[in-house]
Amino acid sequence: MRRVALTLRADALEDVLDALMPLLPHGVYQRDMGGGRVEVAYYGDAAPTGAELDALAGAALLAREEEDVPDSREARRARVGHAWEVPGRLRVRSPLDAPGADGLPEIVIEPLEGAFGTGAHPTTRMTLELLLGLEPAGGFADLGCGVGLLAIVAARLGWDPVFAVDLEPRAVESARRNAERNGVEVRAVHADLLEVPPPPARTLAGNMPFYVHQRAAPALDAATEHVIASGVVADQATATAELYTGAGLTERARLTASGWAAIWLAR
Amino acid sequence: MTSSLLDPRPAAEAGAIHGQLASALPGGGLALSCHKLVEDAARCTVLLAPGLFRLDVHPVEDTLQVMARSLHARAVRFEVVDQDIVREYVPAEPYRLEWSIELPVEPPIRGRVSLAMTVDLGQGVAHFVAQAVLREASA
Repeated sequence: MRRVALTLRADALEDVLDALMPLLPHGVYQRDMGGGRVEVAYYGDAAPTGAELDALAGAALLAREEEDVPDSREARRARVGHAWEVPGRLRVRSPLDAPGADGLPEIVIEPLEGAFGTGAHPTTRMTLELLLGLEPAGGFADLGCGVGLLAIVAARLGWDPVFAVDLEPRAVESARRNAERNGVEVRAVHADLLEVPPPPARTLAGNMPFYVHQRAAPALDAATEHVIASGVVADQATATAELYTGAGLTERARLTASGWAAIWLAR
Repeated sequence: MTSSLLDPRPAAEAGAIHGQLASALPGGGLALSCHKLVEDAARCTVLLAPGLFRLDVHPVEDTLQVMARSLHARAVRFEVVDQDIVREYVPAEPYRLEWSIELPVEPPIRGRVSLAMTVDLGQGVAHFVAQAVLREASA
């Protein structure tokens, strides 16, 4: 199967997709490359290549690679990225990825079938980036924990105690197993944050839908000093921040990527 | 003239590669329907109305982004009118969204777009069914 990967100017992405998407019934795989660049890859022997592409993408096209690859759904998903890094700080990988040889600290995450997330989602990455900027102190709660990545990193960095909370029982089990795999103590619990308030931890990371933030923000414990609110699209970022500023916090930083947002707020 | 935008032939031709059906509505108007199996992390077009809009879906793990792209010089307005909130996550349970849309030309084109998604996390795919019904406001 033919794989075509385009490196495009990020600011021209949607204009290029206007030309490309009608031609690609199986769609594209996007990957932020930093520096205002984005990779758009697609597969199929009938897909546009070469000069045809140059005409479609125009000046937005910075580079083009074409190769023959096996027809594998897992391989296509993997190339979007399971293993990833916060440069200089941390690498997150699956047990199938080879360990790095550079000594960078690693978290190994294995998704449990049926549980949400591999930890590679843009919202998780941005939340982790904000978390790495905080001073570890007191308790930490990972709300909407999925596979437990944020809780595991918090425990590794020194927050204590650390809670991982999710509505989905299989996610709770996945977080528990991944904490064991990484040798840290995380209390993974099943809870519906529409029914119960967030745990009274000093630092909360809520990687969850807007309607859950709507319920969680007014129920924050007075002991909570830092909140990283994520799991919302960029258009909802300001409304999400306002939920927490209404609860007495002040916005300190905001990240956006691939249409998603993460916000750090503090008392 | 907005009537050419509701001609089903361009939508049928442009959407054929996507398996999209495009047909004329009795009394005037355009109906679109398309279904697709989309791999996790792929961004895929599920509705294409040339000169009006394109609807893309982007399922990643437990999240869904929907991108409604106006293809008209005047922006097509999308407004959510109905959205399922799946309280207890059940992988096989469909998630549904519905928008009202309007192209503010004279006469305006208005209609509804609906999208249903069912996810199979084990297979790493999501199944989408998308439909649109569009009419001139005076029709």
